Amino acid sequence: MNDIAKQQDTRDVSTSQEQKQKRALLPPVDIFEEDEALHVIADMPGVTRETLHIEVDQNVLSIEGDIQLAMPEGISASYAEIQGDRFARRFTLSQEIDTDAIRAQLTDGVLTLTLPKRETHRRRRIEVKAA
Amino acid sequence: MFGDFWRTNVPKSSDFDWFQQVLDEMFPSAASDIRSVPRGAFPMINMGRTDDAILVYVFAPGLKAEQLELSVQDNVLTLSGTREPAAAENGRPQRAYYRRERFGGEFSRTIALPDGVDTERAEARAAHGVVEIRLPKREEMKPRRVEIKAA
Repeated sequence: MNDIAKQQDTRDVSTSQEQKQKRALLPPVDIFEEDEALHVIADMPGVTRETLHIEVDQNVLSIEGDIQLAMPEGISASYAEIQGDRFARRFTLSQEIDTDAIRAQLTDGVLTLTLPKRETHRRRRIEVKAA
Repeated sequence: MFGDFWRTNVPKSSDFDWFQQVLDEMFPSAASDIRSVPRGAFPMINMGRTDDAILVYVFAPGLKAEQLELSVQDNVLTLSGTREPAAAENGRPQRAYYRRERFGGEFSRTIALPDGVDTERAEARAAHGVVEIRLPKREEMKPRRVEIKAA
């Protein structure tokens, strides 16, 4: 009896971990490049400044944020297209990005990231001299 | 918080789509809900209910309150508006894009509301890119406690 109960317990834990990973949603992003920087814009509705985490670890940029909604007590879902409680996405960066100079701004659930390039990697205009 | 939405047995839209496709193949006459939408429509919508109200959450990141128009008619809620594509902001369209996944342009979505909603007293408020629409239930639709009298 005890063994069976234990097994069921462990299975429950594993599925809940799986569920936890599934519950992270992939935010849609726009990524574009300009001469001096790369720009990332991500839709993360419901994410506040307090719950947003941006991290660069060994050239991997990770963006994570919990969806914060003030929902009343005792609410039950009848329809849900957003089925998760957090957004998470990761990107690998190239060496040219100056990771110390990354800037982030969060407005109305839209995250704007500016990833400046190092001075040495910026595009330069080459003057063509008249012969 | 949002766990409440997760724990319910609402079918995942993607699972449901797959199931619907199989159904359509096997029974060509099977019809899908005329208001059902493929996954990924903008803005995404969640709906929930409490004892005294229906709550609709519209996930509309980057939209100001005046950019989203809400209207209710015959228990059908319509959301429409325009989200400017990000590229237009700086007036520099010549950009090298690597990804363009975010929605841009005009949108219009409708959802059917359950019966017994008092649309006159509907209120909406926006925070962090999510618009919460609260539609109170009519008095007669609220759950009532039935007293059992001793014989």
